[in-house]
Amino acid sequence: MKRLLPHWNTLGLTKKFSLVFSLLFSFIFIIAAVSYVSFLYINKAEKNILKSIQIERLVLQMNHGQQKARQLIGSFFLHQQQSSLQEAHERYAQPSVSEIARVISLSNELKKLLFHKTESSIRGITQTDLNLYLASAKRFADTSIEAVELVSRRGAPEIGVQARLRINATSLAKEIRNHPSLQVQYLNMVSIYKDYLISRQRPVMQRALNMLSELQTVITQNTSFTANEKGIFLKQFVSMRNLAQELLNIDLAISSTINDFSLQEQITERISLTLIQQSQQEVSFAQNHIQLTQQILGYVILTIALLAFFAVLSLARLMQASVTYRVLSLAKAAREYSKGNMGVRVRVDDDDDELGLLGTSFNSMAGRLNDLVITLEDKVEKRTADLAIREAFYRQLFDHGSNAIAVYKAVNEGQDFVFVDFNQAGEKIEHIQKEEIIGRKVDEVFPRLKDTGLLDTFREVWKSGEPLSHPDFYYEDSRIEGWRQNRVYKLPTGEIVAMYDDLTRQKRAEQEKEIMEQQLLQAQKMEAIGLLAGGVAHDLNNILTAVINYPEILLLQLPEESPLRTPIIQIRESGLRAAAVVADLLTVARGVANKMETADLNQLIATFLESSEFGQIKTDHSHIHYSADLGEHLSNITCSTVHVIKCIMNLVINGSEAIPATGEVTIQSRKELLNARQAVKYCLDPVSYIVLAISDTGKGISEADLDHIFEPFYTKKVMSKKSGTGLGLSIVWNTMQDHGGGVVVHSSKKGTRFDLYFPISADQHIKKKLLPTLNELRGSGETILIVDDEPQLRKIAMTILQELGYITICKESGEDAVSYLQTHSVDLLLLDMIMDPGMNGRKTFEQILRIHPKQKALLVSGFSENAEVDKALALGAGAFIKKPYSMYELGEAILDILQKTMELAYDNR
Amino acid sequence: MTTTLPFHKFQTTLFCGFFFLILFILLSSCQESQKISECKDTLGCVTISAGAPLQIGVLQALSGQVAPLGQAQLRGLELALDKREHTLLGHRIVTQVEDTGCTAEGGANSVLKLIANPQTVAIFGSTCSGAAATASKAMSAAGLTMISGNNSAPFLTSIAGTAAPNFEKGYFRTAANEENAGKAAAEYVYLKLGLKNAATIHDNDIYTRGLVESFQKAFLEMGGKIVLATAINKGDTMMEPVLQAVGKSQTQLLFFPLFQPEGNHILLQARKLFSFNEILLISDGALIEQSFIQEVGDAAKGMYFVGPQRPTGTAVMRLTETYQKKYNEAPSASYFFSAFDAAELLFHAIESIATQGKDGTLHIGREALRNALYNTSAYHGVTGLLSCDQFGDCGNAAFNILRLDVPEQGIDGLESNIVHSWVSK
Repeated sequence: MKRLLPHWNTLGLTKKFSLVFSLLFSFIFIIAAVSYVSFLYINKAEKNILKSIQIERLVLQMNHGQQKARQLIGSFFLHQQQSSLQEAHERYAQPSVSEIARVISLSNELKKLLFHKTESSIRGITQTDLNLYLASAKRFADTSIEAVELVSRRGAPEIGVQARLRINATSLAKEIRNHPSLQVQYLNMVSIYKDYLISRQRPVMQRALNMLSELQTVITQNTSFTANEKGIFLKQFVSMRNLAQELLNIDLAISSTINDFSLQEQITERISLTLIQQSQQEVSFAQNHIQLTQQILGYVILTIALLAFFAVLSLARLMQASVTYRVLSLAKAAREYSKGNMGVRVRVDDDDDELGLLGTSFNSMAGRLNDLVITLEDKVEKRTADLAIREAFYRQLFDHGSNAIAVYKAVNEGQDFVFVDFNQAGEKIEHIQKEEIIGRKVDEVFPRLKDTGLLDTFREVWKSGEPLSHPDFYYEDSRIEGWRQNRVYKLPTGEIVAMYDDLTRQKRAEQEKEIMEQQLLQAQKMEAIGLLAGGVAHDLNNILTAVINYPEILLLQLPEESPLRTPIIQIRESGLRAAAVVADLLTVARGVANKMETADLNQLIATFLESSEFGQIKTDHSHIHYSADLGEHLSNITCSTVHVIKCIMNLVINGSEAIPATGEVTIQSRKELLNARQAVKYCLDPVSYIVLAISDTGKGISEADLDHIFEPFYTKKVMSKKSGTGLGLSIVWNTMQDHGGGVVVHSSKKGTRFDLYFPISADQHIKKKLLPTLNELRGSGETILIVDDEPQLRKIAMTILQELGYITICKESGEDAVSYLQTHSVDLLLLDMIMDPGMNGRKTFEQILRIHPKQKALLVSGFSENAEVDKALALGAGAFIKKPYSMYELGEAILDILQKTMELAYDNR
Repeated sequence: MTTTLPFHKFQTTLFCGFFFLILFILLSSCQESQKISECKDTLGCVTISAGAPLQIGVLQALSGQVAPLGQAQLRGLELALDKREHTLLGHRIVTQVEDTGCTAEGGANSVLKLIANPQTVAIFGSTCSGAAATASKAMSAAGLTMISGNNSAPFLTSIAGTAAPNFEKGYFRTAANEENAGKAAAEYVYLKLGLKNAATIHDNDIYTRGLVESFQKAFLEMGGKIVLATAINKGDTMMEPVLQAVGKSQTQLLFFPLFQPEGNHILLQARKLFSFNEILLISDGALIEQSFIQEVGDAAKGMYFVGPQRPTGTAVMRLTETYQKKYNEAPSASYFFSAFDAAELLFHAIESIATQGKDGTLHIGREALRNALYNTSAYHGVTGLLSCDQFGDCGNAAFNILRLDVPEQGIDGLESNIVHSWVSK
């Protein structure tokens, strides 16, 4: 063993395993071979047992069958003499034949068993004996059948030899019945014949035949018989002799047959006995053989198993030392190495096999790896740091980017998406913390998101992997609202990323810009209309000033009973109405500076409801129910009361005319705080407003018409006497613009509602104004310089002022006025703002102020640019009055300025 | 560098094992088929392995009073075997001897024992023609060859140049066809002795029946009259009734070619009858036997016998000497010569057709053996030149009419007292 070890160590791993497995295989093969051989032996022995038992059974059956057949044949021979042949045939011969047939069948079966594939191997039985035994059945059958035939030939009724012989004898007896001597001979012959039938001895028959011959001789010699009778006798004798001879032959054949049976029995009895004995011995032998084989097999397998056991132990130890131990060492070293013990090495002796090479290679590899690892660790450390920096960098980008970034994980096969990450920009935009949404489905966080189609975009991107830009959309739920712009793409790891911006400000700016553009457009349009209207109004106002004021002057001069008063009053009223129309035009043109005052909206509504105009409306629309729903404790507003009431009237008229049959028009007032969204939408500030709402249950306004209803002269109504000038809603809109408020229209097929938003006034005190009398308006002789380019208006103004007690000086232009004041001074200027040609009112005032810095003026204009009026007022003009003015209006304005001037002078003292 | 895995090695070993196993099976199969293909004989072959004996079946009448005849046949065979030292083509010759009892049924049952053995090359026998008739039928059907030195019944081969009723292919005999023995006897009694009336008795054996019929035919043809043609059964002892019938038949002679003991009973009981004083008794070769002479003694004086001519010559003398030396007695009958020739003829034929393999296995074609015997021509036998015809007759048909004058001189005295010789013309 020690000698072999060095050789063993030099073997390769493959050869070692080959040798070990070959040895083990050899053991297995030997066991298998021994088992197989034993199996064959046992199998063969078992087959022999089975075969021998079958042989014994068949031989016994054959013997029994043959014996039975012989007995039946013997009985047939016996009983065919005692009883009828037919009966004997049926009772014995036929069963015998059947039994023989069965024996032949058994014989064939035995033959197949003995000679199937191989010849019989039963010891003690020669092939000859077997063949003979098998052939004996057939021979026995042939012999038996022959015997039955012979007996039948002999004993058959009427046609059998004996029967025919008996018939002949009877016939002969009849012929000789009259011859006693012959009868004696005949009877002797018959007696001997009967002896033969019993003994079947040929000499006995011969004796009978001898007597027959004697009888024949006697008859032949007897002269009492005729030749013919003798011929008949002779035939009978010949026939009887032939039958006797035939009977002898048959009996001889039967005797031979019986002898044959005996011989056959002698042959088969010995063989069958031997067959049975040998079959039994074969069974016993085979059983012993099986037992012996099993014992030997047990010993052999036990021996081989022990050898194999020790061999396996030895081989296992050898393999453990030369392979397993070294593999484990390698594994242990590898494990240590994998744990980071870079200094571990495998013990390598002088082994030349693969494990030795593997150990050497491992050590070499470990050394090289150790060197590489040191370098690699530095690289990895640097790389890790780089990655950390990059991670931080990207995390910073993610968290601090201006765009919102949401990372989703697809669930339910891409039908739903769950938040995985969310950056700070997203938190800011969506007003939600990342921790609140991580792990939640996107439609749980943004329940209305599915209406925007963004979820479908998520699904499509998740499915296709292609990035998509989702169209800008407006999102609104109970928590948040705003415009979003999304770019969706799919990460290689499968997550969906939505990067989006909050476009709300941009969109709102765009909306505001659009509104402003619209407003600008509207303003420009209004301005153009205003310019047109303003020009007309200026001229009309100048004219109307005369029309209004002259009647007033005339009325002052006419007695009360004068019949001219009425026509003059009519003229004056017509002038006022014309002035109202012009005023509307000016309102639309927004070219006139309205007088603003603090007012209670509810009071203004009440004023309207009590007015004759509202009474006329109710009369015209009797089928409509008018109601008012006024809010309580409303703040006051700063407004042009005339315009507000005019707005109410216009809207009530429009609402009434919008109701074709029965319906309702409601006037409401309320206080409302606008939120930011509403403020943007309504182009107002997010503050509280006093709202005047006038609604009807009419047919509503179409979408197309909504954009145009505030335009001047835009009307869908059929022109009639009820129709207005086409300026109603334009006046409303311009009034609200002048008041710093807004108009919001809500319209549907069920009706329309106009909400007029009035800013709340800072001054909540309402001045009570009383209409003064002429006496109260009279001056104290103050000098008033009238500056107007219209001579008629200068004259009217001069007339009124003089009537009121003032001293008037008239100048037709600003230049003249300045020139005059270079040398003069006046208490007050009545200065027309628009003069043509020459300086306008402002410039004139500026020039005058250079001369008389404290000069006060009452500005007058039929149509004036507000900017010029404002500038002039800012210069210290004092007040403004629009044309056409009435005596009262002029007088009050002048008196008011003069009083303030006096108060100021008094204060300055 | 490549390495062989253990599993591959195992596969190679397994494959080699299977290869050799299959090769072994194929070789075994080829060997088996080679054995079968060596025999091309239409009736099959007897294959005798090296060292195995060559088996010859023997059917003879070895019981009863006819046993001496059967014994003579056996001795003739033994002498032939001795001559070959019981060996043929290097194989020891063994015999399976069966007793026929000189009956048909005995022959039928005995021959079954022989043909049942597939190794039986041929059958030597039988003694009695009756047994031969049944035995040859079974033998022929089994494809065997049978040769007798004693059967002489014409029914077994040919009658008048045509196949006899009991002719069977493969049957041969060196004993003469005694179809002409009856004729020889008839010519002698009718022509030489001038007897015109004759009675005949046979024992229903085909041998005796054949002789009687050939006698009757020849006698009638010459103008004689058969006044009584009767028979006895084998085993009959009471011959008086038949002899009375003969006595009353006014016959001048009684031809009774019977075997012992029936022949003995006829002779002895006839001598007691007055009516037989003037009746000439003539029998056949079956009674030309020492035991018969000894038993009947003087009763046989003057009795005639018709039988085959006794062979002569040096070969006969040497064989006779051999016989006497071997058995320490003189031959009781001369039929052992034809038995010797029959055995020799058979052995010679086997030698001529047998093929022997390199391993010593002997193959004997059954059809070839028959043909060899049928083709036998001018074979120098002890009994003369033997030539077999198509019916299996190989012996020479020459008969002598003997008369026993001095019983004390025994068989030799009888056979030497030739009163007439008949040779086929």
